[in-house]
Amino acid sequence: MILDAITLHNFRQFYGTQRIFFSKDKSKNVTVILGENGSGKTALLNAFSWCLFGQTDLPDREDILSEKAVAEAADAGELEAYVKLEFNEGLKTYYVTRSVRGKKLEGNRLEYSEPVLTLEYTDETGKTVVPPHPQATINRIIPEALRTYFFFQGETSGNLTQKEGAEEIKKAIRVLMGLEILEQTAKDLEEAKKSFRHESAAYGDPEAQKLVQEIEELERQLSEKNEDLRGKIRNRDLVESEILGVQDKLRSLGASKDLQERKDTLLDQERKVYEQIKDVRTATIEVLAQRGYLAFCGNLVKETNVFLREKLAGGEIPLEMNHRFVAKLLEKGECICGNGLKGGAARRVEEWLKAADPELEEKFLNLFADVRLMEHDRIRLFDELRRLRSFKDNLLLNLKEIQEEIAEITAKMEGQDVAEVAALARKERELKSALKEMDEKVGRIKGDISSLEKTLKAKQEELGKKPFEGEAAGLAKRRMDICENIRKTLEEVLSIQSEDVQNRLQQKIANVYSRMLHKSYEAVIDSEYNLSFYKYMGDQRIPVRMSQGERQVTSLAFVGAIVDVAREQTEDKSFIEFGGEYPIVLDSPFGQLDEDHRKRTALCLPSLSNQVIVMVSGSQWKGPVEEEMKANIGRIYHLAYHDPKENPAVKFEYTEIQEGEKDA
Amino acid sequence: MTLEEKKEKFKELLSQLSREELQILSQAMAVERSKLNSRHDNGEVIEEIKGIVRGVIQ
Repeated sequence: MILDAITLHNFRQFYGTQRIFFSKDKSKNVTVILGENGSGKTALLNAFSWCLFGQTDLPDREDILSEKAVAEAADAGELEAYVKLEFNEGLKTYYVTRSVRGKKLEGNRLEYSEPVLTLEYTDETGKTVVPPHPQATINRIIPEALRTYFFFQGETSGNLTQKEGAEEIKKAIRVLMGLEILEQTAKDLEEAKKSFRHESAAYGDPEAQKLVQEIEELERQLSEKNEDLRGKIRNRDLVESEILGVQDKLRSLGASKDLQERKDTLLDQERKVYEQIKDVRTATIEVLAQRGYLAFCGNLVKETNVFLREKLAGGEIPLEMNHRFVAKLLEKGECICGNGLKGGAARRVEEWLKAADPELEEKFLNLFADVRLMEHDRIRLFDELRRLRSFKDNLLLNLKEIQEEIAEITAKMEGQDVAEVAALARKERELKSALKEMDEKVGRIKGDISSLEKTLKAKQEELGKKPFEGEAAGLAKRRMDICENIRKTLEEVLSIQSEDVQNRLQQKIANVYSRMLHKSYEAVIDSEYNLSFYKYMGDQRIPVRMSQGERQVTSLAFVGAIVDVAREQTEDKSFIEFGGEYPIVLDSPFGQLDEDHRKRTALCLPSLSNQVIVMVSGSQWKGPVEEEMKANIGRIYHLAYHDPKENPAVKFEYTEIQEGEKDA
Repeated sequence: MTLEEKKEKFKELLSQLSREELQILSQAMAVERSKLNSRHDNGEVIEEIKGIVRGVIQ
């Protein structure tokens, strides 16, 4: 989506018909709209939202018609306000108009009709098409949930990365990146497959029919369990974020700050000790898997050793001497003691050598060596297990000390004179206990799911082996297999795309964030698109409490990253339409920033999207912002506000849009 | 993974599908795309997909 123009007709203070053309030049991709406070920047930003989604965040949101136009209209006369947006999406040019009519009543009051949305586009051949569901078409191009991201209000946007309302935002990101459509197609193919399976069973023998019924019942149970699990996980996540909120609050209160910071350190140590204990367990399992059998070979090794030595002493086993070595001594005619090996001595040795079985001799020698090695390995195994055990005991001791100190701090906080601290500490303890219970429940459900899945798999395999006799059953089976095969491929595509989107968002956010913010915070995005920020104190990572300006930069970084990743995804011209080009429309993005951050943000903004529209006041624009963005300006407009308070000749406020000289 | 590598991976995955499967996939995706954001009843989409499968596999 690249914006061509917006036309406003009697929309709020934009009296009459006025138009803005946006720069589409890739090297001069910024359109600047300058306007002082109250001149209509926010109304203009809301004109985009109203046109596309019928939504505004304006006060008196029902009052769409210009006051001046209403005042000038005759009594009982009808007036119209509309916003028309022209934009390109691929090779199509879209024209969206939302209009509303109002009938003038007594005292300049208005009776509004329902707003009307119209949409049409011209395709690459110049043909005009009117889609049957205009709102759905718009939502496919630009999801409504991301409205506040693409049409960004700097002063009120706060932190768009927070969890509130995040579900819708996550869904919108998934739609934008092509994940939603992949997932939905895979789900629907699964349902189609089940339906063909049901059909095939109707033609099968009673046993196959029974199997299908059992599979369907298992799938029903599994679906219920999964639904339950999702709900439980959502609830435990809410409790977890509530705990983080309480800890955050405790960190900010003077009476508990030091205690909470010590507790943070201890909690971090506790986490690390748990990880170490887990590592020790893994190492122990590995040692036992590789050499555990030696623990049970004690008697065998001992008895074999005794047996071999007895046989050796009794002469039943040849000497521990290598046959080839003795043959070489005979050949040289020299004994190992240095004397000659000739005459009778040599004959006796030759006879012994002839009587000896070299193969048997070698096997005995090898057996001796193996038994000794086993004995050695057995000792090493017990040493290793003792070492791991002792390490684990020390870790458990350490863990106990850490947990005792945490409990002590919690008790101190709960006993604090400051009632707020005591109440928060109690709340944290209660929430943690609830979280523990929830985790146990989640674990139980996961166990149930795993066992249901195992049974289901076995039944499905059993059904797969059943012959499907008859043409109709065979056809249904083929259709079922084909649905399954396509679904599996889609699942793989989905998994690659999900991972790719997450990695790219993570990289982009970190990159944009480091360019915009002078503090070195670490930005982390998880697979659910939750964004968290951390700073380091020594090697300890703690969540960041942000200033308002930092929150604004964070939101901008998030917006920039989403738009940038969406833009990158369009390079993939495979069968699925991923991503897309999107503009960023920003109202007062520099308002809450200090000079350094204004400069950094201004430098970074033009690179965030192929099209950037910035609405800004003269005071925010002049200086570092203008300096940094000057080279990227494609078009510039001024909002000339006519104020009745300043000019008695003006009876009703209105704003005129005037195109300016970009080099002026 | 670069975008080029990702594209190659997708190509490889799709090359494992038969001509009929690819035909069903592209038609099913077109149905899903047209219903995205406007679906009221999931059953409709599933029935359409089943129809596509029946049409291709006869």
